[in-house]
Amino acid sequence: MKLKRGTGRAKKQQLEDVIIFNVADTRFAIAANTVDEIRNMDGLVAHKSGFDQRLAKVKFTLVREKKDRDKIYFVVDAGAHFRGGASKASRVLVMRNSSVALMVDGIDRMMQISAVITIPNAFGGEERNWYRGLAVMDGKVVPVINPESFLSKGEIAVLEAKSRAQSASVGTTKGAASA
Amino acid sequence: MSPHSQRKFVLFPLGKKRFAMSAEHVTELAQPDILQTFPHTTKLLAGVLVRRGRIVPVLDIAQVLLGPDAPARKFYLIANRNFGSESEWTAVPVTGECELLNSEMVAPTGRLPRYVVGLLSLEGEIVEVIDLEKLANAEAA
Repeated sequence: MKLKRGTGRAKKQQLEDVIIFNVADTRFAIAANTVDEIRNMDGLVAHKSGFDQRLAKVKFTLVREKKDRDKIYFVVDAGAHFRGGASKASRVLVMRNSSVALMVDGIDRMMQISAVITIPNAFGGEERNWYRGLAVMDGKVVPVINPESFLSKGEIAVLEAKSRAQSASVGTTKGAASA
Repeated sequence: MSPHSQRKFVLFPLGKKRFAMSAEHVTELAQPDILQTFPHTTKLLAGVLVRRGRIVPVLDIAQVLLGPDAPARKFYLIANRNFGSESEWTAVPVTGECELLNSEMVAPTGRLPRYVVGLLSLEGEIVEVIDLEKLANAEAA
């Protein structure tokens, strides 16, 4: 009789590192490997979105002088993005491989989760794009953020073009003044 | 009334009124549970419950059936909703205990909303039979 190797062995659980942060009264999770840096509010420059209400959630820009001084990050206020209550931002999560940073109230902790549960079909609004899914931590449901939901590629292109135009006009003004 | 034309319904209270839902959609009546909320933009969804390892969305239909002054909801009626080929639990907050009964449903009369799919006549009381799917879809639209 041939003995078969057991195929029903339980799979080793895939764990994912996440950063837990707070915005107003809500806790969110974001995959740790999508965040490049967590920093304080130093170095933020106020940003005006003009008449475009979709971009009103971009409150600041950020240039990391020591790391990539040629790159501008557009800092999204998480409270405005999720249309929640008033938030008291104190930390900025700079996203990896992106021009987006996220302003949050505070960092709670870093932990590992074993499963991201698909958001129930009953949720049919923007949250389907906002969240990769939901995680249950100590009996509490925590939305797991989709980091690409803060600004679309088109919105980033608009912001970058605006920013380039502003730099050019500052350069022209400076040039005219020195002439 | 022929017993063959009778169907099972779950009667649930919302404030001073009672409504009904076809029993085939109802899974259970749950005790008060902790409602958990997070930001979203779907109308009528009040949050979620964690029940037997599942995340169950809470659809607060009292906002539509009674308006903003609906009294506090105490229990959850767990119903099945279909989304394409998938079916999913949805919790409906109600204000008191529910009742299972056999009754004959008559077609709705007059200008009732589309989510009222029938009426039950129960000892002088007319109870609207609600289609959860139609109600949720009407609100989403």
